[in-house]
Amino acid sequence: MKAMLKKRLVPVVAIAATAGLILSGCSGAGGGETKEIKIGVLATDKGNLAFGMDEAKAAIGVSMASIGGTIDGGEIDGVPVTIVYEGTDGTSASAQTAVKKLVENDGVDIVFGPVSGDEGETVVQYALTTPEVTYVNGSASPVGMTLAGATNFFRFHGDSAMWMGGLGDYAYNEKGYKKIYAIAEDYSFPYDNAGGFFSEFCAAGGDVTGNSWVPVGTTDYSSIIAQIPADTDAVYVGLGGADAASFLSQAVTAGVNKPLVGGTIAVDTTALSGDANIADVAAGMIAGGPVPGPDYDSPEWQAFVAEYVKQPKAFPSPSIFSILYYNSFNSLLLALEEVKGQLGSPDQKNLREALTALEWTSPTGPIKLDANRQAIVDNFLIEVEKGADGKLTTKQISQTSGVAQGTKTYDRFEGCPK
Amino acid sequence: MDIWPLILLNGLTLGAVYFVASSGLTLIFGLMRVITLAHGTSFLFGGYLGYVVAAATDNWILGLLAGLVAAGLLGLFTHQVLIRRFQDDDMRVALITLGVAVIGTDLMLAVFGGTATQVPFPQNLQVALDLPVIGEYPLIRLIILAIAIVLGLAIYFIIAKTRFGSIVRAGVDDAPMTSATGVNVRVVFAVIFAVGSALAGLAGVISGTLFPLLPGQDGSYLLFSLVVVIVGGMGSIPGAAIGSALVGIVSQFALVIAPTYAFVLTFALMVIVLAVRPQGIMGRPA
Repeated sequence: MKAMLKKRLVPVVAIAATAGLILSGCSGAGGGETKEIKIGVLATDKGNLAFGMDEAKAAIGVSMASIGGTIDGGEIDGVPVTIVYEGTDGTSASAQTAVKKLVENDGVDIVFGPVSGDEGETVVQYALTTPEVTYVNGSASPVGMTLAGATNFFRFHGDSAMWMGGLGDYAYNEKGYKKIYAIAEDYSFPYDNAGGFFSEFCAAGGDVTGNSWVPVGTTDYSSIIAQIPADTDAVYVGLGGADAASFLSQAVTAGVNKPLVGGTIAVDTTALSGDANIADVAAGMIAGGPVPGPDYDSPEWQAFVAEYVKQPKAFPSPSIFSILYYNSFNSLLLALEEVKGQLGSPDQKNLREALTALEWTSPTGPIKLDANRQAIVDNFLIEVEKGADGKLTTKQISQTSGVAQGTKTYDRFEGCPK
Repeated sequence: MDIWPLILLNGLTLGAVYFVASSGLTLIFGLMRVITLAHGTSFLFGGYLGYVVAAATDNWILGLLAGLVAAGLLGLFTHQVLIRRFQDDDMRVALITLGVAVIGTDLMLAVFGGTATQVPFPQNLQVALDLPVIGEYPLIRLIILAIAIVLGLAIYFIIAKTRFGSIVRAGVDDAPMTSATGVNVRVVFAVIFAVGSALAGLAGVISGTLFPLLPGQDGSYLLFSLVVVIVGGMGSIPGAAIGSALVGIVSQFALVIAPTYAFVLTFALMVIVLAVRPQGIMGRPA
């Protein structure tokens, strides 16, 4: 019996050893040159941000075309680049599963993504445990992500509090909103997004008449709308994707006649391009974020838009997600070109130094990183208006250059943020 | 607080959508005891088809019918081609319908994209009625509540009072014996499966009128329908009505009182019902 057990053990041990060798071969880019670069992309393909994957691919398609590649890969100075994709539903749990699969099963060198805030916080925590992999963020924007101390994590766009800079003052002083009711999704991104807005709005003298933090994926807003007090001047809509579209169309049928202030992703082509009849409530909505108005005419922006619309499944104009994914992926690609495809060792030293030192003019203005590997970028305030053809479009109110990150992070708050 | 009657009505109208979806599941899963995990797929497929037809013809009623028929045909195909031979093998049926659901989800994402779409309905229905106590209330939600009530009564009447209904009940209780009396039980089962799927498709169009249609809703409506069927009692139409009203009302009140826990409270309802009355509110002990 014992002999038999031993006999059975031999092949098992052999397989385990081989597997061990293969695994160590994969992750230990030891000291030599880089022969292949594998990039794993995280993006949402389910839930209220289900368009994330298409937008990510459109952005990567535009960027890779600049080196003659495709969304599946290309070549940098003779080093082949392969890109693999992993879909998530926007939750921490699915991001955790997907990033682990990319790193542990697919053996990627670089993780690119994710889309949503809670996903981003999860990926940063995972990045802390896998220092040999480099992470470049996609569009996740909670403030705290670049304050967590992960030296292998890079974000080439603003955080959600930075995006709201200037909007609180504008709402109070220019629009004359004194009291605002806040409706926002209950997770990290809207906390910081709303926190950024309301800290400024309250400091200017404004008041909050109530907060509704709704679960992501809420489709029926009738009872939330019923709670908006009569003495409110405006409603803050910190919702995104399908949730924003839901709210806006129900605001029409329920006869909401208050002006709206949008969270960064509420005033986006992903929420406004649906075919629900939302023009009546959405016109006049103001918001802040990294997306300029249609009259913005830098050559980089024009070139990006022209390439973007050629991508399969592209929206009529780029959404915030494709813009952030493009700026981030192109930053990564520029750094890879800078090091001629040689990631360096230990811990992809060359690539990380190149990412840290990178400065370029993106479609939405100059990008460079601060000491926390967080981008310093331009920011825009915009207002939704009804175009001549009755379709919704946006108008740029103002542009601020060189916006840097603050250090204040926000949690769910009642009334004004503490 | 004068908003409570309004919240209650919101809960009932949301429950109406759940009822149409779950009445189909209570026929297939509750009555026939066939575990289908593709019910949400029928829901979303019907919704999208209804959207396409309603947008193309500018006719909401045609959209409703299109969703109903399309999902019914999908159900018929699933039953006749894929699961009929294994109908008594729960594990196989569950896996096959799960496969249908996974493939369906990805195909619909590929065809209809990831953004929210909404079924257009006539401008003259986009008005609010002035109700006593509650005040202004969107007419479309009341229409949908009415559709659900009429539909519920019709299904209940057919199952409980007609000859076809008694054949169905007999077929479910003892298929060989019913066969022996000259009834083609296979046809009966195929009809029930198609009708159940068609109801899910209709629910998809109705839901797509009030709320947006988007990927992932197939999963959440399958879950809500299962909760309703389990809370209400397997195979019982009045049970499905009570269950959907409860789930709708609980989720709306939860959204107002404790929004963070809205989903948790909906499932807590199921836990409580299962603990107190394992067969469901109107269910017969197995």
